[in-house]
Amino acid sequence: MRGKQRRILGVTCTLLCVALTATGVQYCRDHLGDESTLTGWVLLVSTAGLYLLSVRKKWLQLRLGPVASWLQMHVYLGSFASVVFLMHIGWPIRGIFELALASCFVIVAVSGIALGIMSRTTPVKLAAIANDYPLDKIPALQNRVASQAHQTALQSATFGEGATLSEYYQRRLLPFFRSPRSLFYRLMPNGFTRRKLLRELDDLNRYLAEQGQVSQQSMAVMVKSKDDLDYHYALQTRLRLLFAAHISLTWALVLMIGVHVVLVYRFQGAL
Amino acid sequence: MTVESVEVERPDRWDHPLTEEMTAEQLQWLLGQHPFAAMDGDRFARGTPLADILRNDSKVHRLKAGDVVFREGQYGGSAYLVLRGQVRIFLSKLLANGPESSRPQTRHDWLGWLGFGSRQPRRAPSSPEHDRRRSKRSGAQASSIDRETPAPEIGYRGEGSETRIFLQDVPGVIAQHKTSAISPGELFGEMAAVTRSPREFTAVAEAECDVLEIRWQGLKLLKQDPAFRILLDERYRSEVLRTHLRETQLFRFLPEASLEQVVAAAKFESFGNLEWYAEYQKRPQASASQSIEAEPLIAEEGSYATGLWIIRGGFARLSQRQGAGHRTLAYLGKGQLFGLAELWHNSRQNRSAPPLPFQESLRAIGYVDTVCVPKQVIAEHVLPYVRQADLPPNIESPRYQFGQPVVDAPLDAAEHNVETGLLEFLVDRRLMNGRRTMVIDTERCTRCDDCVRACASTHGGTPVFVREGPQYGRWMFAQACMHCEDPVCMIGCPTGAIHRDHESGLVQINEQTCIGCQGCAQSCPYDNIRMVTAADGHGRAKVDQQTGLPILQASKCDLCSQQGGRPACQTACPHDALVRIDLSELSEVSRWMET
Ligand code: SF4
Repeated sequence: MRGKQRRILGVTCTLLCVALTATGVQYCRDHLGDESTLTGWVLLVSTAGLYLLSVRKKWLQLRLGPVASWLQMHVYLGSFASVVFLMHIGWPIRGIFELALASCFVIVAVSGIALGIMSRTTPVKLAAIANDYPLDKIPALQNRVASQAHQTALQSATFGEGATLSEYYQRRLLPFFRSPRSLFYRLMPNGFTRRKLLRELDDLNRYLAEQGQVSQQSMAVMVKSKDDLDYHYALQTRLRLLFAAHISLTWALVLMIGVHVVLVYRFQGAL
Repeated sequence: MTVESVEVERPDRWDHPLTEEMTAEQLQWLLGQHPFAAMDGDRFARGTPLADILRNDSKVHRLKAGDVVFREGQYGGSAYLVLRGQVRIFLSKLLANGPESSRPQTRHDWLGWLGFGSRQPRRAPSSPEHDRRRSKRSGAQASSIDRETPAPEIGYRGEGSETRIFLQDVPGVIAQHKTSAISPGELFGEMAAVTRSPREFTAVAEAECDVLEIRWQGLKLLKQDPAFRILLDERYRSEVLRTHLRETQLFRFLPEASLEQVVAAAKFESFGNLEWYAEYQKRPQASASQSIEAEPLIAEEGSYATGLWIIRGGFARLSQRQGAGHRTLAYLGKGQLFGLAELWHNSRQNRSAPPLPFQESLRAIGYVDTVCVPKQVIAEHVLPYVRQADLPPNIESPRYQFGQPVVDAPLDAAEHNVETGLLEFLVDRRLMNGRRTMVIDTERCTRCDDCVRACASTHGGTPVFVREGPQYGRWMFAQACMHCEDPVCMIGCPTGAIHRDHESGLVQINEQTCIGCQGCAQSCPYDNIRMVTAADGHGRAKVDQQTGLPILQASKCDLCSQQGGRPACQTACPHDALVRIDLSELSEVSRWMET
């Protein structure tokens, strides 16, 4: 099945399920049934279905189709569960535990949506950089660029034009090459610093003789390389951290859902 | 952290002979048979004497009437010598797609409908060569043979790895097919072994007979004897030509007499260096134009169209001059033709009109085996029997015409939708050799490394590929074994540990027989084979008991063939960013670009 057809099928099924649940809720309301038990169970089953993706990832040797298809199913099921969640919660939410449970669900859902968006946008941003850098190799590459920049700065001090470039390196570039980027950059990688440094480097040109200009140009290349590496590092870690947060919160959610079910049935006197 | 190790004897090339059953008497008897009796023992290196080659690299098979020695389309690393009795080779298609194809398939297609099913067949890893050969033979001749002659009845004999397929009614089947007899002292099947290509025919024991299997490594050693080398080369040439022409679609309706004329007039020519990978690894950085010009020229645009070129092995670049450089239009692989359009055009011109020269150039990429059939033979014996559908389209506005200026073609003119840049990239990096190349769409890949983890978990904790590699635009060609069309890594292996799976054609490493010589890793032009420390069944690193050094073993992607279905890396990718595709077929690359 082609991607578009699969998407249409997925969206249609999700909408059908939502409509079916809404009809069930309405029926319960009309017949004085317990609609929150109905939505609760639907929510429980659909949330349990969301964990199937992790199971599939663990048991790759089973011939159950590609993980990509399971991820799609996860997305549709997640959307359905979110709608049912809205039907299930009473407003206002009472009790600290219930509030914590609802918040946890919302955070998991929001992080899931963010993951969905970011896993579409991040690869495009990463691919826009000329080279691809595997995350585990980036620190070593950053070190290498920093050492090269240091060497270039030291050498440039021996040229006739004096310490212009090395002084600038010491003041502005050394922190850029040697220290990690700010938290803001790691959350929202951007090209401000890169552009600023390149502009400043360019401004130095008028004070440099021929050899100095060569050093300045190679320094500019290194600034770009370091920034590319930082950019890759920030984007890749951001995505991985978000993924880790999504996964850990889902396990917290399991625990809380368990407690919630027990509490509800004890309250009803069923346990 | 200390790694547990275990001391073992360093493996040797003949630790695992082809058979353990060769007795001293049998060996003595073999040494007295043709062609071994005439071999000069002094010609052999001291470490690899003739007797040892036969003892370790050969095996006598006692066959009953009807036993199938090998089937068309299978891969094999052995040649066979008839010692007693007679073997028949079937020149027309005998067994459709291997007998397994008739066994029922149990796959539930509803999973596929939901997009959950693997795109590959459930039974064993799919066989690219079978598929490709089926498509090449999809013409009327192949189907008419299949339709007119009932499939022969087959049976199974023996057990386990010794199971043999046999034909039930040998004389009957022989009567229905075009066959040729192989008598005692004659060699067969060496072509596939030498060229690392699939078997071109099926070989069957006609009556009870003895056949000596010689594995490719032994065959290489036997070539130390000059007479044997000549015999091998001659047989290779004559056997190849006939079978190859019969396989070519263009010749399928040729009457026997015309085919004989073609065989008589055809010329073998090879271009480039058989061990191109050594040169390729050392190649200096040159501009695209310079590297194209450095490639051996097979036929040049603008020169007389003197004949039809058929690619028999390897790849050739189809290019056209563009401005001050050359533009790659396509790459041609086994069975593809060059010059047919010009010859067809010229055959319809009246005699006074000047003939059309070649419109494109053909150059060898690495190493290419070709057959050239002269234009007169094509005009007289081939074109009259070619169906309209098999003929190329007319050349409406020729670029080269004798006595007329040459005009550059517009850059967007191409028969396929593969960008020229990508084509050049694939050719320059020799990636068109890959049959199962791992291609990652970097605009979809989130760099989550699920593929790497999945690979590691299916291969004892260590991944057998690296998610890095050359990149063209958004496409990354990752460092994973590509299961090449021409796996040059196999050439130097002294034990045959790296081999092609008979059925699937996948390149596999036999851990039992790998002696860690590093030959394959060094000759892989793509650095897709790594040497890792060998481990025993308990995960302990093996070390040489004499030197204390670790014992190495070659490791590479095996396409998770033990598991069947899709490889784990592809299954695990949550974003559908990773595919394994056949880059040797331009049509597949084109299809992939479209999706
Ligand atoms: S699993 Fe897919 S998305 Fe993740 S790193 Fe591998 S190719 Fe990229």
